[in-house]
Amino acid sequence: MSDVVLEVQGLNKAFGGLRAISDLSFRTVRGEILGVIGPNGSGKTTLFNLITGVFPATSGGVRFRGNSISRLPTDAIARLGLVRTFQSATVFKQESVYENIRRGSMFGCIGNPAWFFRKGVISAGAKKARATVEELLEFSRLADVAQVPAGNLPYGKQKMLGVAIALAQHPLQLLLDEPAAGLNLAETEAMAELIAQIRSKRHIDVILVEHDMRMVTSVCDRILALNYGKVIGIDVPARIVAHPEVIEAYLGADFE
Amino acid sequence: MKAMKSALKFLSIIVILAVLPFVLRAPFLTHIGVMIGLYTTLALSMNLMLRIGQISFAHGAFMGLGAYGSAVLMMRLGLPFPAAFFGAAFGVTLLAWLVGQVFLRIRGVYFVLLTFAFGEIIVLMFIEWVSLFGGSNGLAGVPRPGLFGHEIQSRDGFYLLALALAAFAYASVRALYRSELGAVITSLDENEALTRSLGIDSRQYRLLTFCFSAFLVGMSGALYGHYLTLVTPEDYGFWVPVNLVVINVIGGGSHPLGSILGALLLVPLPEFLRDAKQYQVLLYGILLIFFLLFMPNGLYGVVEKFRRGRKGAAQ
Repeated sequence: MSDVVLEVQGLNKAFGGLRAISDLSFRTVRGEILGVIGPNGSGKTTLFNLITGVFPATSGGVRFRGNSISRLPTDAIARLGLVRTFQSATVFKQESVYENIRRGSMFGCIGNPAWFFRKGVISAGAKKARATVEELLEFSRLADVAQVPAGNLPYGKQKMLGVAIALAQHPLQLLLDEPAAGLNLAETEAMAELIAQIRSKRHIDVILVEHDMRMVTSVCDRILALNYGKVIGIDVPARIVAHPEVIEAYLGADFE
Repeated sequence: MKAMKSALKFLSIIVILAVLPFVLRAPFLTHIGVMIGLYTTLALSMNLMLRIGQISFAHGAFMGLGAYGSAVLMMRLGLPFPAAFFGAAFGVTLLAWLVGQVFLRIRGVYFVLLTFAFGEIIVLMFIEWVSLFGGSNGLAGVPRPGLFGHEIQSRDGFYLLALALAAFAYASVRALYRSELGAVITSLDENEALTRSLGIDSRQYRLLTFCFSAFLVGMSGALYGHYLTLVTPEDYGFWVPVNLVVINVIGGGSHPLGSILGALLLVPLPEFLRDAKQYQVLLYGILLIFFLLFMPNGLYGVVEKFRRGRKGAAQ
């Protein structure tokens, strides 16, 4: 039981009359890569927004490493080590790649302006940031474009950078929102490799929302399948892709 | 080394500006100098708000509260000038902190409308609360400030105060932008969702920026009142924030230097156009259109281009 990292319990979210998430429960264990699949509008991104406190749940709770995070603001959740990325390439477009990753590392130390008065916060943070940036530039294969403004990078590199910014916070668990969306085949493979290395080399747990079934099935240990905000199955990839409800949701009932 | 060189450059410019009126001995120019100093401070405060992407129309009211506050504290309570001046400025800052808790949750046009309404309410209070603020006629005979036992009567004295205030405003805003605080504030404007996901409490940073901005406005308002010796409600209405935004657009809001350049160009204009007052607003409009179309980065953009061009030629 002590291995449980994230625990979602009876989560509900209604937007007006629309139930985006209904009675959703699951848990992840240490060292796991969990995939989340489902057709468009099935509530995948809403689930991320609920977990990271972007908006409050209608009911239900989320626990991270044993502590309830349901009522915490999104920045406090990030500082606890539960960090997310965004669906579209979300980077500081006018800043260099280097500065983007540096902010990722630095900002957690200065979440509140009052912390500027704590002794040594800035110098310690800056020192840590320098080491982090150098290491992550190598890890995410962005070293050759370190000084390029992020907005000038090709889309695939921008998405890599989005992941690197998140990694710069030294998260315990990473929530990746469709990291392969909009990428070509080679870029998707590079991203899949990066995600595998996030676990094997950095020992960070991952929850991966993704449409690319090949990527999900190859990278993930277990897959959570959603439809209309409900869980239709949570199991190892081989069994999920054979699950009749999953096939129906993705391909239609008549598919044989 | 480089930091020391630029600090030295900054100080020597301040010293040259400080002795200028005593060399030129032109009272009218000194008056314009005072106004430029005050408006530089005001424009810098709006520059801060532009940086977080929330144009505050409460800044006219904050300026008025600084002016009325300092005047009332001196006239009705008999406080010495430094106490009244800083009392008013900190009072404005405290008010900004209180209203900011609510206002800053709102973005875009709605923030503009909300702060506009707040500004109108404050101006209405100046007009209606006759016993304290003197109604539409305002407060006349606002005492001139005394510092270290000397009463500052001359324009030159005010000029030095306004220069000191502008120098403080510029140095602090520039230092803020260059610090880690500046990186956070820029990030908030560039992408708030991403910035928050990196662990930044965005509301606290917006609140800090708003309060510091109000502090600068409060101080220049207080000085403005003592300089004119007259505080009237219509000086602190809707036109103040409009002018401040125009100064930043024409000067170039991407750098605090732009606020200075904008004030240098726009503040003397009405003074020289006194005889053609009816054309003043028209000229403002034409200038604004011209800059938006042909110099979207303002005067600062032109300076920057020239500087880079020279650097390129030297290499």
